[in-house]
Amino acid sequence: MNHSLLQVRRLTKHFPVDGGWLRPPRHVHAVDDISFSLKAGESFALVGESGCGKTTTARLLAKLEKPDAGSMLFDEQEVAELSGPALKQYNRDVQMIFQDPFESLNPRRTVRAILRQPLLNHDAAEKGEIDETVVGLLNQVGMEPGEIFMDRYPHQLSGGQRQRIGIARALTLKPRLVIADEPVSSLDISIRAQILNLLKALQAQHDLSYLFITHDLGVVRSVCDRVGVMYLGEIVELAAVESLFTTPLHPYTQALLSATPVADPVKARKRRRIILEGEVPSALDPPTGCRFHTRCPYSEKRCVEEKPALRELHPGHTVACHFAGDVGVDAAAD
Amino acid sequence: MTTSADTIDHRSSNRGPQWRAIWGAFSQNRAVPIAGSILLVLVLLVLFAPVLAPYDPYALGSGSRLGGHSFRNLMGVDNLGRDVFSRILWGGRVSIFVGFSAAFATTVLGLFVGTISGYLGGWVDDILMRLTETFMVIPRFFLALIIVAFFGANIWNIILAISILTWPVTARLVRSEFLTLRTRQFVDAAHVIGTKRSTIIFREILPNAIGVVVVNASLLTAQAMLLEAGLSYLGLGDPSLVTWGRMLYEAQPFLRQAWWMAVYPGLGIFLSVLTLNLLGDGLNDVLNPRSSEIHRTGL
Amino acid sequence: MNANAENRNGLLRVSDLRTYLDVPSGVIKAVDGVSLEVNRKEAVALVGESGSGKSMTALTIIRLQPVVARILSGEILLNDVDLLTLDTASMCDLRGTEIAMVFQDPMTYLNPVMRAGAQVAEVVLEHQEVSKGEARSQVLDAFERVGIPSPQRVYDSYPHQLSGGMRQRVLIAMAISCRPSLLIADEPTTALDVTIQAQIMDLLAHLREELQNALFLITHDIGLVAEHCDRIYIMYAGQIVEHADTFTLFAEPKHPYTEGLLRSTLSPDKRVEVFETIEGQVPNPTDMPSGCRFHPRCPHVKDVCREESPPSLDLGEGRMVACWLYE
Repeated sequence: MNHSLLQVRRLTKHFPVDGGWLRPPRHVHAVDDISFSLKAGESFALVGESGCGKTTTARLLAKLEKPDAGSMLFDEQEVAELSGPALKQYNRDVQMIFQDPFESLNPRRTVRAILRQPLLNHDAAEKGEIDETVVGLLNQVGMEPGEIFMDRYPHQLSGGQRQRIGIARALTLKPRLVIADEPVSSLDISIRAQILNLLKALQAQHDLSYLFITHDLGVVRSVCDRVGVMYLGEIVELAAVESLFTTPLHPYTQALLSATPVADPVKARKRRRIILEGEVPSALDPPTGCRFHTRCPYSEKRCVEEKPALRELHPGHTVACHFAGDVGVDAAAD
Repeated sequence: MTTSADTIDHRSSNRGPQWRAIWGAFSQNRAVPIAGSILLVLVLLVLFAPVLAPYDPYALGSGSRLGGHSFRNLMGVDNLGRDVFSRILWGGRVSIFVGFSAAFATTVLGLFVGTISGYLGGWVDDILMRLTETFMVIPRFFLALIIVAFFGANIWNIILAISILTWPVTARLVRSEFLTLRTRQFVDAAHVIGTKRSTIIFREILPNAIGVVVVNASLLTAQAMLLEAGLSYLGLGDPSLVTWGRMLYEAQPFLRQAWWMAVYPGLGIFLSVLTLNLLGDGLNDVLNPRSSEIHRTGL
Repeated sequence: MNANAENRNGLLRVSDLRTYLDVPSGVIKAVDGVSLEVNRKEAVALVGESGSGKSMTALTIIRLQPVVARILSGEILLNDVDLLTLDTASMCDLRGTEIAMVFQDPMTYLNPVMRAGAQVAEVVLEHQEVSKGEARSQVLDAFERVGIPSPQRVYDSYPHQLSGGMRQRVLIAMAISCRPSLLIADEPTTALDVTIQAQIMDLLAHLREELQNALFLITHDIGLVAEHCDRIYIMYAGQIVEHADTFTLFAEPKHPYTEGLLRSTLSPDKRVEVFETIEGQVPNPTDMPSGCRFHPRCPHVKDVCREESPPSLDLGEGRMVACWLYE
């Protein structure tokens, strides 16, 4: 299978910020004209720091927000135009795992009630078989035996167990695409590995595609196939995982990689470190030209004036930087 | 890949978090069980008024007029020769009934408006909130006076007047709960799995807002009882029924000769309002998610 | 590292510290027999997962433990003075001048209705006999030193007007304003983005060179430690399970927990197909397992592990491990 399961084209979302009646309303440029695609069975990651628009993209795809412009094609159908049975099918095909397992489960509902809900919504199981299905799901996500967890409330579970419930909920409807919004960032390290193993095993078992939303490049390298790096609402680099980690082209990607801690004191102290100056500018008033120019160590006049287009420098490896591939910028890569 | 079966909380039973948490907090907060028992006794007393009351509360000549305490008349006799104890029991029945039904009606109306306003937001919210503000700027007591004066002083009108005056507060409370709850991640999660709107409102959001509503209802009951007492004290109560407020109104001219005519109904109002408020505060400690979270994390 | 050298350079020496917390559901043995040392100018890390007691250890050292905490035993020697025997006033004098702390969430430790600069100046005025004007210029100096780009503007800003990274810099400026010899940093970068984290860690390293202070870094992130610390203490369920210098610990971890932790840490430098994990989860703090607290999750568990808690074994060259495997 090689067709795109999901195609995002020129997707844009701006949130209005009320300026009061003395000022015109301004807009947070949360997602600005981004395009990417995801093949069936693939794990694609959107990486970036807080406020880069990765979570908004996830929410647009989950239909929790409406896009301002652009298109999202799922199975070659425009998501925004879905209605009736097609919309219902989309609601089954695309599921989401949330970041915070404390927040994403209703504190007043039992595990049984939480996991029954999607089945009831879609009449996805016979009435008599619902409990059986739920127990099966619990066993699948490593909560064995499932029966003993059925009547627990979220606060009676540990963080890792809660996240497993979140995963089980996403799996109830046998989805094809699972959007995982920072699925492990609030978990302890020893639990993180357990959950990522589970996600990988489930992917193989159910032929799932994943859209990972994360800030953690460590997770990306081990779990994903392709990556899009986002900065201030835009995708600045798009590549296969190995290509991105071995030859990062965009200065921002290079800085991000060099800032990510490496759990190896020898490598960590040998590598070239790029410490970015300053902070991410406000998305209310993003910089002209290349949005990264205010922090870029290689910034020139052209970067301030002209927005760089995405160029394919290597097969399957695109980057939005005027100077990517040039000597100075390249030397920064390991 | 198995998880060990042990959980964070080993003592948890299947009965759910609320009851265990309530029990835990009650065992630490001494005011609540005391207030609760006093209230329970009051409610039981007025419920069993037909059995417990020695006399018909309206019957004249149940004792010597303005007579003091005696075995025949435990709380003395009023100016028309009616037994105060019997009147307290029957009057409490009406007072407490007015309190609870007004609180109930208020809560239902407030929940309805607050839910719509908080969940839908937008222009619906704008209109409904301006409406609540309209009601809130009217001086309560005077509107009650007007309603009762216009539509007659029967008990249903009084309940209606109280409810119409207090629902905006409940509505705004429910609305603000909904506004925060509807942006919570678990509500997003419910949307993603294709949950219907009504299910989201009633199963996901409302159970989380209900704690605040219950606390508010107990405070409202107390407020309603006070308002009824106030109306009756001014002589605007239902003339065909005895209530604690009406008893106070009737006791006015005889304060010097027969203090028991005023003290007992006063005590009844005082006790029920106080216990309801204490109960409300105690419930707030238990049901308020923020304070119970502190309780749960143990730090 | 021989005993003599340790004495000369010794700055902080904690021995057999026990901090228990009384909670409704029982007693949490948050810190249970912790011993550790920080030498002058050194960067030492205390690594553990949530609930391991690492933050409580730090809070006890600076004597800011919560009211429900009881210190049962132990000594905290800072320059040979036992902090646990000091009265509140002398402890206050020490805080800021000798020992200072930076926290995970700077917003919690900044007063929202007071300008950032004034809050730092207050600390300076508290500890030094200087005029207000001098305090102000000292604060501006400190701001510049911690890499705040426009110190004047930040001085007059309220905390909510600053970004997370900037607030953390303000807090660091406050901590170093009186040049402490020991800076404790409790998860100083956990709430920040990676590029800002790199800035802050870089700053802490620079300050250490400039001010010659020791850094005691409390963190869950073993990757952060690899790059920035000289020695590492690994903490699990209230106890130190292993101690070694950074290179040795990463090259040959001894304790099964350390081993598991290193294996399950995700690093951007290599792709891992299936992670080796530590099974199970952190034990319930009010109901610790008998014997070695790690035994229910340990792949090498023996009978003795279930019954008796392991002794702290000195493996030479400053290495310590608490595990029956090495007895």
